[in-house]
Amino acid sequence: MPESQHAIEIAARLITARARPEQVLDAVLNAALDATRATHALIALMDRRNGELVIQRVAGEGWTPQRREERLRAGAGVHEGIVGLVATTGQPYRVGDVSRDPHYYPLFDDVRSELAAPLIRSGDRVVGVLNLESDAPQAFTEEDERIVSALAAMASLAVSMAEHHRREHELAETARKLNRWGNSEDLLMEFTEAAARILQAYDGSLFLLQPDGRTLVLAASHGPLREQVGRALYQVGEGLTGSVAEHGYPIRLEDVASDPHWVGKYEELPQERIAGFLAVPVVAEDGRVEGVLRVIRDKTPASLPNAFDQDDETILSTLASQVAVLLNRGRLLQRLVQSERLAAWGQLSARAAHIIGNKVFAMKGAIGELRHLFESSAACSPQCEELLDMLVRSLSETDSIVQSFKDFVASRDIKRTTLNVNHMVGAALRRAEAGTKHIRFVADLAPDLPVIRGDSSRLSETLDELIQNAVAWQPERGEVRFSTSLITSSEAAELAKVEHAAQYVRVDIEDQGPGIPPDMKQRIFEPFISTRGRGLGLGLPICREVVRAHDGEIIEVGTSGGHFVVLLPVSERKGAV
Amino acid sequence: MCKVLLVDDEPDVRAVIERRLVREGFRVDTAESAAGAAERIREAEPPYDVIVADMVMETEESGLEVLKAAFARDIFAELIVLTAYGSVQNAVECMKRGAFDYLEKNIPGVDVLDLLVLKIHNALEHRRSAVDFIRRIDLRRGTT
Repeated sequence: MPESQHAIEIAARLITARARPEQVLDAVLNAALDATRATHALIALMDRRNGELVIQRVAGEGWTPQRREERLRAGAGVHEGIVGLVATTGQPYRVGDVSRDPHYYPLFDDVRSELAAPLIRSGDRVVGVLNLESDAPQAFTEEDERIVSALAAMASLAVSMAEHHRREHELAETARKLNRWGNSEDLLMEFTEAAARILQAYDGSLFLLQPDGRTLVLAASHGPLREQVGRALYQVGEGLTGSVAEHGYPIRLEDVASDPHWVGKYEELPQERIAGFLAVPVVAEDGRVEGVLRVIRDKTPASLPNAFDQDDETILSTLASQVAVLLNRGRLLQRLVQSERLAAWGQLSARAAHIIGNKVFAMKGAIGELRHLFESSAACSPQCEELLDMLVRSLSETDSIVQSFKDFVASRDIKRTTLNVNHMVGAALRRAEAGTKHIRFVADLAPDLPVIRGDSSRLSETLDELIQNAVAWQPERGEVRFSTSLITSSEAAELAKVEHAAQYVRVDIEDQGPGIPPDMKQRIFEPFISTRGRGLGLGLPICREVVRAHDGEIIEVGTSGGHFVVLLPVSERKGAV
Repeated sequence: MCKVLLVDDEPDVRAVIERRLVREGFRVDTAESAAGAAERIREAEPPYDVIVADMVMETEESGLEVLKAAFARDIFAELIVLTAYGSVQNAVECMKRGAFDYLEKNIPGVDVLDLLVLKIHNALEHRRSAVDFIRRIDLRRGTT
């Protein structure tokens, strides 16, 4: 049949020419009509979410809008129609007399015989059905069945390619979003949405590994878990999600409950509704696992297979690598903004301090000259003297303020060397003992503390400030206690928000003074808050800036007296000098 | 009479230091930039005994420029550098290159001008002894 061959050739050419899928499907339908004695033809595609077969393209006579709107169900049993049956079995079906067929469901009144072939994507998954009907009995032959099956394969190729293009486009879109500035939390949320959309999944979630390296926290989810963002936790190794983080390779499952790792701690869907589970690691540039991106598919009404395949895994891994880029960019940006801001502040304040310093110097000089003039002219009354003294005093205070302000701004500018914290604490103690009487200093220093990388002079100043602070509040004959110890990252994380290091050196300084009221514990580290009613209130803020510049933290935890805790990360480079 | 050159870009600072040094009996010239100072140093006859210069004027290098100009004119020149919260690093650099002393303009609780006068007297002493020393060596050479 040259005519049908011609039609098939046209369809084949359209596929290779990357025509729009509708064009290919129409060509396939026309080829089928030409090649057989069919009077009506349709291609219906499967909607996995509800198991419905939606008529996409039609050809032949008698199609009305109502008929085109008909929905056919796969796996629905007796009323599924022949199209539904083929979608369920994945096998072609040919019937010479529909009136005797139990599966037949009439779309047209004049139909006598029918031929349907499944559209099968790679991995024997039915994506749709090509269906032909004829008003003649026994209209379709075995030869027709072969031709129509071949045409169905062409149609499924076109559908797969369209799906492939859609995914490609969506991936490109999400990659494009990466280049947009924005709130990274929103962007992460968009990624989970994109993952679910591209993979036609029910839901997607992103878990990120915390700095302790042991806990995964839900960072984004667009479904029911959305409420639990920031709260849902997995330990590394716990459940399927924790396993992905632990081993760094993807997990793809059809039946989650059959896997011994499955715990079902946080589910986007009840376990019995999950038809497919796919989780991939988010891997940073240096190979560290930073999180887990996961998606699930729900069961279709007819329990058709709906698991993820290798292509899906590749796509999710691509998205996960984009998430890693996003996280990395966020970190870089934060660091850049931070250092830019500090540099700008540093320049501005150095310049301002210089100008103010010159003015103050000129004023002080002028007052000196004024005093000299008064002395020689005898016009100076005691009140004049008093006023001049006051001016000198105020200018002196201005000097101190400018100096401490400059110290505050410079406090993040540190020069690291390798330091032994015990030596530093010991030296600070000796300085304190030399300058203070009536107060006992007690030290309990942990032996064999590892070294840290830090700015010796700034950290020493910090210790001095904390000691002065303790001494200032100390009752006569009181006791100031010192201790140093080595703690783990998670112990540090329980005390304060710290990052990066696996171990911290902890320095405790306790006094027996009145302590700090609970509502002031946070505020004492803010600039210009002075509890002692003297000075500028920059002492403790400078301490905090210095400690934070070392990626450490300082907190006040006293219940009766004052009790400061300084955490300093232990240098990761072992044996660094 | 002792000749002092005062270099500072702040008019108020120049005015107040000049006033005080004049009261102490020094002959004072002023300049407001490193370039201006270099010119005065070149043209001064006899050369200045002591030069008091702010370290950071137009640039971070201003103090060093004045220093170079001073030594080019007179190897016995005495330079005192001033800083207003300036970095100690620069002052140290000037000292290494032969400055006599440095002085912070803002030391809480100290009359810095008194201190400056003291340092100028010290510098003059230093200069006199250096010049005397060389003169004695020259004399000895002349007699032998």
